[in-house]
Amino acid sequence: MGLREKLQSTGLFLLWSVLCGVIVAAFFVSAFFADFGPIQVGDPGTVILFMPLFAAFILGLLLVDFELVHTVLAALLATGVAIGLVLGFMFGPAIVGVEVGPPPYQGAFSAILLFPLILLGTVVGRAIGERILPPQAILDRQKALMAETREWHEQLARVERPVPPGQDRKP
Amino acid sequence: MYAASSAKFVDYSDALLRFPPPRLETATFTRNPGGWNITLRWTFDNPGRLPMRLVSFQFEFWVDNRSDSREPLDGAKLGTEYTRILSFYLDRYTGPVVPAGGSKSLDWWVDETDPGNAGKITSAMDPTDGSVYIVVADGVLVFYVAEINERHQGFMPPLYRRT
Repeated sequence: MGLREKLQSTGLFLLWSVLCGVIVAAFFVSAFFADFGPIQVGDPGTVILFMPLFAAFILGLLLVDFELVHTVLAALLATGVAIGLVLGFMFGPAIVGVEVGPPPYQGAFSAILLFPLILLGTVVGRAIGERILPPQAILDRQKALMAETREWHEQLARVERPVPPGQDRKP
Repeated sequence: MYAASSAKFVDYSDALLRFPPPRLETATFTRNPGGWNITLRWTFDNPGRLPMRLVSFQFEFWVDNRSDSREPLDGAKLGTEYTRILSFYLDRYTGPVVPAGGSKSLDWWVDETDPGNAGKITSAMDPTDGSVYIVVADGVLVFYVAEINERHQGFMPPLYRRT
């Protein structure tokens, strides 16, 4: 793999992981701090269970060309970004210098639940992605294997061709 | 979505931080045939970026009897002076709104026709220029910031004013 492809692949890996974290954080904040959200996303419990799983599932589908260990790294990165953004929201007024009291903690500790959910979603997404959208490397490998098998079949067929009577089988 | 939530939370905090206590813009004492007509105009300023919904405001005012040498906020002295408690109580859907970056003025008025009370006001009046000195205290304002479901209470510092 050339340097350009490597950079592109790393860039995509980072982009999808960070995007997943941003999406999860946005829904988390909108659910737990509903008064501040531009849209009402409903019950926080449902959001915290469904959104990380769904977003991470899509992340897993997008990372189908990567190794499994990279998928786990992506889950970690997405969780880190999501928790970082939730903390950024909570301490936003303090960062800007306009805080009037302690940051709101309602449900913030639930953010720790994001990791197992994102990890599960990513791994399942990747596994399903491998089935429905197999990566090019696997397709190439399958093609090469099929060609090799066909070649073997042809060789075997040649070897096992019946020898006409009165002729010796050549080695 | 995340950016909008964060911006609103920062604006909310900023609005609470910068929301000043209401100011008494004018206090007018006008004689009428039965006694006195008193009008107090309060102005609520909102320098924040989110509108404020006022749900209640209550305060008490006294007409200071300056012939009594005690401090204007002396409790025993206040007990002898003309006083009124004025207020409004609404809810978070019907209360007046102070627009973001704007102001809202609200008037309270009293028609004092009781001869004893009217006499207290008359006697407290400065004989040289007819001005009245008032003490305002125990001011409590209850408000909401925008549609955020969190009730806030602000206590006003005591005020001494010549009208």
